Amino acid sequence: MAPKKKTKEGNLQQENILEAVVIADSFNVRFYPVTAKRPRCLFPLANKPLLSYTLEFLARCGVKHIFVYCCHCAEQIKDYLAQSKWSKPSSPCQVTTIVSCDFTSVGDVLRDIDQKSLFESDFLLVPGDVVSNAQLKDALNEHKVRREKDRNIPLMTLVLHSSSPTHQSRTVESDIVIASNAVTNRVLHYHKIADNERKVQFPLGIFQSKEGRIEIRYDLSDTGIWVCSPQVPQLFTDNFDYQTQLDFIKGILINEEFLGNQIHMHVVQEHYCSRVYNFHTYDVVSHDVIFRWTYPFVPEIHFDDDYSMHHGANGSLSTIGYTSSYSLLRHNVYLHNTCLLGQNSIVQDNVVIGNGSKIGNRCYISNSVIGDGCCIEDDCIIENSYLWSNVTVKSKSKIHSSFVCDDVSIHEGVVLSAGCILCDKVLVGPSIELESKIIHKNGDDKTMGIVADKQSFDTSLVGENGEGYIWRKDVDVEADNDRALSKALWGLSLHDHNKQKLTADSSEESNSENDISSAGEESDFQEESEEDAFDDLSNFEKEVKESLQRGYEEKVQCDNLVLEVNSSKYAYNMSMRDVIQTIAKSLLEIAAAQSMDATSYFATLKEVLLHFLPLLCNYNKTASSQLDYLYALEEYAVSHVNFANSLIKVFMLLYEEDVLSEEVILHWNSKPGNYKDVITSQEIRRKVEKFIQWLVEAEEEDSDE
Amino acid sequence: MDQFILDLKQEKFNGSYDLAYKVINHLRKLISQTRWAHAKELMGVIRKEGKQLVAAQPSEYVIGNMVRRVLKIVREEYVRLLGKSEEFANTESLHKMLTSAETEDEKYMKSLKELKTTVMEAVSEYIDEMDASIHNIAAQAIEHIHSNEVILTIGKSRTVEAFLKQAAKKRKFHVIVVEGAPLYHGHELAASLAAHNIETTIITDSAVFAMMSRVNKVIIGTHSVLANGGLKAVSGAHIVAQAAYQHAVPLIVLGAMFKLCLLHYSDIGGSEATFNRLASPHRVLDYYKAGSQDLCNVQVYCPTFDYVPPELVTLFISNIGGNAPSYMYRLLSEMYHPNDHEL
Repeated sequence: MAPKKKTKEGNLQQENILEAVVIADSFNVRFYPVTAKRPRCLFPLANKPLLSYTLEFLARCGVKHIFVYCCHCAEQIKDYLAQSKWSKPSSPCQVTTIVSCDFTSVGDVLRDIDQKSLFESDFLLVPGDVVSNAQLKDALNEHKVRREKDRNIPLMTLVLHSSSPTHQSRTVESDIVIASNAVTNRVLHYHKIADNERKVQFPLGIFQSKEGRIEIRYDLSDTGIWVCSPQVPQLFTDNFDYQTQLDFIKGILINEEFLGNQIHMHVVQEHYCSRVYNFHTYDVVSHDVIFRWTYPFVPEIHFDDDYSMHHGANGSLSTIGYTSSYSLLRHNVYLHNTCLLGQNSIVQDNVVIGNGSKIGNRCYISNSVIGDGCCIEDDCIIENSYLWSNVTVKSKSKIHSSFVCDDVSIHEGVVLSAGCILCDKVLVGPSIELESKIIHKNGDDKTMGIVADKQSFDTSLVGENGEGYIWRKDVDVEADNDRALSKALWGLSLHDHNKQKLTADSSEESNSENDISSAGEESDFQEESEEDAFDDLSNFEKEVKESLQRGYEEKVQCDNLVLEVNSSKYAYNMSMRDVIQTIAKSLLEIAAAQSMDATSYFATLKEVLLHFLPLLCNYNKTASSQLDYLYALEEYAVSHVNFANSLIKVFMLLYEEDVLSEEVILHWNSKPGNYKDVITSQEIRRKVEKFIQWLVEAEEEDSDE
Repeated sequence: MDQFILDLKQEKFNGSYDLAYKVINHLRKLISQTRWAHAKELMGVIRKEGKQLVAAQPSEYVIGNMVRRVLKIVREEYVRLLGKSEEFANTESLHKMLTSAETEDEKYMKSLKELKTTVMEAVSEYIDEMDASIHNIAAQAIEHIHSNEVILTIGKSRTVEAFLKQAAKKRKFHVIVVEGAPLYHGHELAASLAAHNIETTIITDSAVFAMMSRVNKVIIGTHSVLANGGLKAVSGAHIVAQAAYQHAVPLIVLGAMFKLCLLHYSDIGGSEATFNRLASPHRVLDYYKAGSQDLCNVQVYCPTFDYVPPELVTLFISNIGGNAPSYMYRLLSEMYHPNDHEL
């Protein structure tokens, strides 16, 4: 009987079962506000949910068990999977969903994998927005062979896709340069080019290795697919600061020498492999699906069950459900068998029209996808646009290069152009022109920082019968670079961007070549670390100051404060010198904050210094640290006249309390620093002249004796 | 069982022989492993499975053919066990309909103990027949290829390869292979023939017409043969057929009987999707280049098949001998039962 056979097969394949993790969350807000109530992986791509492309691709690669990690809108993903073919007994692979709202990054997901120790053998890590028809057999085999040679060193294989620098599918976000060993395919350097970066630098070390040729490639785009060894999740746990895949790759490459982990790459040549991670790539990938690059994942081949985007509308599925319900006509026109076309309507080319959609008379449609249950009335023009389910378009509307989500109503004579985005349930019109506007209608406005009465829609913006708000980017809480990216959402603006970039690139390339040939001495790692260090220093200063302030107010034991300062020191990887300077500065600032009055200044300062005396003694044991401390005081003094005036008293105090030795003070005096602010270093020295004199005399007296 | 459907979807088969073989083995397993009381129930099981198989690869007609063929075997064996002639099972005469004692519902309802074994035997026999089909076709080579002839073929067909190699044992002749862009399977065939000491020339698809005047016979394989005698063959076959017709060169088509299917071109012509397979354009244009600004709006087609109308075909050679395309309807009625046309 059938089941018997199955178990037998199961036993045979047990050893070599291939598993995959799909991360059905992007952990970013590229599609916001569209993604407010809908996960990205359930976006319809040519009228099929994006996730189904990913799962189908994995099933095609022979993956037997897929773990889907969901976070944002997890319920929707679960519902979808529960009613799709993936949860039916006939499903080619087992799909397990893991839901947690605690995940905030890819790093968290991998740490969870490690915690549950899901994998003992190699597995695939795939983002939930991959569309591909590639066979990963080669990548898997290569990885396996490498692992057989050495169990521990080859950590993972990045699956990359070759695409020319001018390729449509390349965006600012996926602009990468990779240096690799041409023979072993080992990745030596992975660099993501920032938006306005014009030079790319490579560590010199990679060119000095003796094995094989080094290739520097700008014709690759990352597919986000990783073939991972079971150690990968463990490394994420060990390095809890890894958030994204990029962090991980960089971390591994930097630590390669002493951890010995290596990353390899596999370039998909013949097959299609792309990700949907912003509006532009949604546009490009949809286009590619319609142009059949993703064959066999094309609309008329029925790979996904008839999943209606509106849950449960026609959930029942007969055996006939397997047959395709789209028919392909010339010029890449895919019509669902139930859609209706009006008289004299022209469906020009590259169009998908979904289940039960009605197109009125004399319409013109080209380069567009129209979802299920849409109703388009007479004399409409739809070009380069995406209409999701149940969209109503009243007569004489024009929609160009726009993105219209579920249940949107567009009244008569509305003109949408150049990258409009209408989110779920928005109403616009009649007779209004919108250009590059994002209109949303979210019940929960707190997240956007707009406090608006729900009834007061701005009719001048969305039309008399309109319902919806204009989405303003400046109220966005995203980081700066995200904002820059959202500017280049999709459509023309991005092409322009690419063009600009292109011209920049050509000059850039020649530049970078020069850099390479002259073997740039400073690596970008250094540059970066400097930048990081700057950030770290200010953070460190803040932290130390806070703990000292608290210590002073609560009269905490200095020993404990030393411990606290030391732990901050290690957390930020600070040098001793930085610590001393920071402490000096912090103490003076604390004192300054206590008393603004010049006369009482020294009194408070004395009190503060006496309280922290054990701490100061602890850090100023050696001559060099004392000297550092003195220079720190000097640096502070040049910008604070108050302190400069009482400096002599401070020196006296510190000398008497044995914090500073006389040799060091004399040494400091002989070598003035180059500080210049309100007063100069010279003036400082003049102010402490008496004290120095007294010191010198005391010394002479000593020697006389 | 589901694994097989998945394999079909993933095109894990190597040519139509392999596919037919896999499908019939799958059906044989189904017959032996499922519980059924009588022939009607068995036919129901086979039909249901068959529908799913067909849906998994709608453009592979061989699957449907195998299902129908097995159904026909079940019918024949049932009738034979009842002690009636095979003819009786096939013909649905008015006389029979009136005189027959049993109604349509009762038909095939009797439970017969031996049915399972006899059906299994008959299916195995049929598998043997299939195994031998390439050999049977190749055995006819001597009758069709004469010494010093120039033969033209396109793409790569295992049947044609075996046919030519068989003929080469006795005769000397020259083969022109059309490369068959964009798959270039012609290259493989040419290499294989040349290794077999057959004089071989390879030409581009565009040179077919120029070369045709020198050709004595065109011999091609086919994906399947439609009910009207038309062919669903590798893309490029139509131009070859047209050129042969223009130069009055006989076009001989080789294909085993199981490639013969019930569909007419008009049945499927409405939807290019089920007749043809429009594959990914990457064979024609590299995606690497295709995405750049100037090329992104270029539509690229990569059809896998051509329809060759029956009037261009001179002779169809199958494992049971040569037939004219106009005789196909007759062969079909012998192979499949009329009630099984609709699964």
